[in-house]
Amino acid sequence: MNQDRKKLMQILHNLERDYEAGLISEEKYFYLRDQYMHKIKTIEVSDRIRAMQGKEETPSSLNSRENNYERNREEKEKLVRKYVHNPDSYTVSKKPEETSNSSPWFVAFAVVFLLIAFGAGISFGMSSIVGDGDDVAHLFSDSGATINDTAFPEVKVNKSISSNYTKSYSNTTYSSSSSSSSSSSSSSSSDSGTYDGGSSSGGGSSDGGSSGGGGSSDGGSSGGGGSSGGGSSDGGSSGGGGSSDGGSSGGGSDE
Amino acid sequence: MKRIIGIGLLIIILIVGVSFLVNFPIFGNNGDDVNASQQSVEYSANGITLSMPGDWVSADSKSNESILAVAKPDPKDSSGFSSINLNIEKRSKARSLQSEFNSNYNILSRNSDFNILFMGNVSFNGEPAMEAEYTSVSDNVTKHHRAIWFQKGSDIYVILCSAPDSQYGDLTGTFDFIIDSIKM
Repeated sequence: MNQDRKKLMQILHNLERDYEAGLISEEKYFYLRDQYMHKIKTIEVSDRIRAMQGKEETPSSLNSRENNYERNREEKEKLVRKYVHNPDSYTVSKKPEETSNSSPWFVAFAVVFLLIAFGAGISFGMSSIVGDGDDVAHLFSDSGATINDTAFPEVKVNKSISSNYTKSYSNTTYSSSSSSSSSSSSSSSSDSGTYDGGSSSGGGSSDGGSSGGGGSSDGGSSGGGGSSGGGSSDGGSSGGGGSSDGGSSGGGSDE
Repeated sequence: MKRIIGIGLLIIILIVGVSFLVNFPIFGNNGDDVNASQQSVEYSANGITLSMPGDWVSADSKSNESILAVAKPDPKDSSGFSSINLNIEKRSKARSLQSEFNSNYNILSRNSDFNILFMGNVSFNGEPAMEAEYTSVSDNVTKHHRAIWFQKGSDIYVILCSAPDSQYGDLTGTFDFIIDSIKM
């Protein structure tokens, strides 16, 4: 094996060892390794060229090369420069080729065409987006619609329910007499007349707004029994079973 | 070099041509908009997946309890809200389904703007659920609502379908399609 190559291989080996030991940085290692590898390849190529030229390595030639080390090295470099690198000839032959291929008119045409092509593409894209305002909103916002419908709306109570009145009225009729009946009538306003007009105190007070006035009007419409008992609302209710019966029958006729 | 530039120009011409054809199709194809409503789009949010018509979009709901909302972008009401929509809301730490349902519609029925049309038991995904249909009036516009209530664990979910009263009949199929596709 070529001595130079052997030496370089040894250096490369040492370099790897130093790198593995952490004595040199990675960057430095790769740089030096590339340098040495390049040198090794150069030597290999020069040896190959020498072999092709019929200058086989023999012990005698080795000895002579040891003696004429400098001379051999120069020769090698000359060979490498001639067959491997030859940067001058490469650049000289390449440059005129480039200039001959790309005329200024051709470059200008390419640039103009590219500008037109990109302009056309952008305008088409914009026109397709701007064509529909909703699409723009859809693109630039997370969602294209807003809603305010909810299953749990906050509503104000502005209407009463007849079923509620039914419950309260029946409870109050049987649980207590005058005070409770008046409270029930106040809690249920509009439906009282329809539910049981004959009941003097309830219907009368609610419709009339005052117990006396309401009592007289309802009593008149419902019948004599009702009106006699209902001259005053309290009196009507205090009449007990009799008055309540009369009231209910009067209520039936009212409805 | 010349050849590369030529190929590049050819590719650019092809791209421009294709984009032109895509934007302005020569072969009249006006059925795209119609097909959009007939195609279904899958949408998911907060662990809920549903399918909706292609012309529907996800929506922002003003309700704090909303977890998923989709809507047809048009028509919009006078306030700019999409009037055809489906909103899924969740009420956590609720009472029983029955009591929440009854309480909600007892309150609604005491407001003259709301008119309860139907309340009853149904099933949703094989689970017992409750349904209510009612109308509401806002800004002199009557809207028809259909709400399906069901319970999952301690949470109560409500699927609320809303549309202008005049259009609700035509949209029942669409709402049914979306409701049937809901997966949680």
